[in-house]
Amino acid sequence: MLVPDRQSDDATVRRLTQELDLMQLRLRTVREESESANEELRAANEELQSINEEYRSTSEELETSKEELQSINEELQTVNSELKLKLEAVSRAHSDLQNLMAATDIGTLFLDSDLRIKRYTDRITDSFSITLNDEGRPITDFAHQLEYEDLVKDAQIVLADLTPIQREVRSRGGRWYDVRIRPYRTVENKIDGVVLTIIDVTDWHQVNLTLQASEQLLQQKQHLVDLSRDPIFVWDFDGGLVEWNRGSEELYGFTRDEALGKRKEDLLHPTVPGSSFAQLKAKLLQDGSWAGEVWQKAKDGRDVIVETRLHLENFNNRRLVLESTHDVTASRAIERRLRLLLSELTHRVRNTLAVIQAIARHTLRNSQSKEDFVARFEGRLAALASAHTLLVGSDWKGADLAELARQQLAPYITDNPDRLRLQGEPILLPADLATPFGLILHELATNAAKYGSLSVLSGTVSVSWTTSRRNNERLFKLVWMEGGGPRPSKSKADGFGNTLINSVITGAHVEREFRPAGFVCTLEIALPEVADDGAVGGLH
Amino acid sequence: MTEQLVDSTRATALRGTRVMIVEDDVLLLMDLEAILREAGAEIAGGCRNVAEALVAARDCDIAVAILDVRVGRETTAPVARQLASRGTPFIFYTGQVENDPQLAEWAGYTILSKPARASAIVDALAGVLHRN
Repeated sequence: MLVPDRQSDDATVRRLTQELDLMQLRLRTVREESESANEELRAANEELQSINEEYRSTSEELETSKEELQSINEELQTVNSELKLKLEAVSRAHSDLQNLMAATDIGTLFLDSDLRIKRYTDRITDSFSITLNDEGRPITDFAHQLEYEDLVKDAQIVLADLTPIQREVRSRGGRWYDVRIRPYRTVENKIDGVVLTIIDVTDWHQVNLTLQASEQLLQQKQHLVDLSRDPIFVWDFDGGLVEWNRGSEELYGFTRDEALGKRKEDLLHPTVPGSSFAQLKAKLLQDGSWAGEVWQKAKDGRDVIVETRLHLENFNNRRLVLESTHDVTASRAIERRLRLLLSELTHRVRNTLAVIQAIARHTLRNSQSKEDFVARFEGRLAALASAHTLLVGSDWKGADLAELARQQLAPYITDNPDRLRLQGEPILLPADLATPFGLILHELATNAAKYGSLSVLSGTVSVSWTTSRRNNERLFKLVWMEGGGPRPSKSKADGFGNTLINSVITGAHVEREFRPAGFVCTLEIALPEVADDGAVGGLH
Repeated sequence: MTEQLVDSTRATALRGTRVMIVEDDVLLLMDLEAILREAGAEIAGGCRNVAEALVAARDCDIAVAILDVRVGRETTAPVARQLASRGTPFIFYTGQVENDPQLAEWAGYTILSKPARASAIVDALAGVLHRN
């Protein structure tokens, strides 16, 4: 150690002690400062530590959040894709809808709850003059082409009642539209306005009208068919009857219920004259139609002859036969009768001509001269004619004997008809006897006029007759008695009358007596039984 | 004068022939008998109904017959069949129309229409007689 100079050393010591004091003060200060700094540091440290803690926890939270965000992000991405898909779907749906609307030609108008225009399809512009600019304007601002005054009112009703309204209306242009107003429901089932759809149904309307007209026409035809008195019916070629009108019921006797479903063959038993029903069907199949005469049976067994027309039609995969018949039973019967009558007439005429011929031939053989022939022939012809007249008058049933006698004697007793006396019950001589009898009476009268009682004014002729029965036969006896005339002698007249009498009266009795008082002739013959209708022999 | 309605050339056409007549009208029957006699025939029978005619056809010796088609309400078809089966020739003398169904059976047989001339009747009978 150095021993410093004391004064200098004191000064230095003082200085140093001052410096030291100072230093010590400074140190103390510094120490205090340092302590406070330390404290502060400590505090700061503590703060930092707590901050650090906070940061740590925040960091953790951030970490968590980050994870959450990540997952949200993923979700969002998924949702995004879904949304994209949905958007595409909606877009497609929208295109589809537009195309659908365009394809179906439906005019659609969407109105909101205040009846303002939301959107619409093109077709609507046919009826409403609206453009895209008009979206949002109330529909009441616009006129429309439809004859539908209450359109807006109906829309309001739909909005209020939530029940749809449908109407068919005409447009001013003459077309027909199906207008439907429905409430607009969102997917949440909220009402958000109305939807108007307008569909042009003019064609359908036309078809409907045509259909109605057709139906009316059909009804008319049906009534006509039913009015017809003639049978009109339809049968399935392979089955039974499908139609049966009133005319059929009336002619055949089967009601509609009884007839439908049954086979025509089983019901009416048709036969075809000169052919068969099977052949008829075959021909029908071949030609598509058939017409001709058919014989059928009615329900009560009555025979029915009809003229029928058939027509085969393919209808809905069925072969149907339309048939219309006309009852000719009566007219065929009449025709048959006419033919018979004509035949009968021919027969009679020819027979009569032959009879006249016979009389002429006989007269000719036995006449003395031309004048003689003429006189006799004319006389006999007249007798024949008057006998015929009597027969015709009775429709060929027969001639009344008394009338015949009067007729044949008439030419000879014109001055005094009482010269002829008739006695006997009324008797009708059958036609085939009347003529010869008339001629016989004529002969007897002629002879009486020439040689017998009628040759004098006071002469008389009495004709009397009786009928009786013997052995199941009707016997007829006639007596011709002349009186008040010259004495008779066997006449020189030709034997026509005699021959005739002999021929007529086969197997019976003839007597000729030349009594002084006058000629008497007795005939006895068997009369044929008279038929119920009065006609006898050869008159059918 | 008396007239012959059958001329001399035919006066013997049916000489000795036995003829049956079936006819219901007396006047026509008389007439036919007279004509046939004039032609020399013998009247084997004059029948006015089918029953008589059938008997005569069976029992009498007949060379030829003349038949009305309708006698009374009947047809002489049975008589014709009987004669045909015996080989006896005959003709029809009728007022029926030509296409009468009753005559359908006898197509090919001689059918004379009323009224016929005397000569036609005689010729027809002679014709069928000599055909056999």
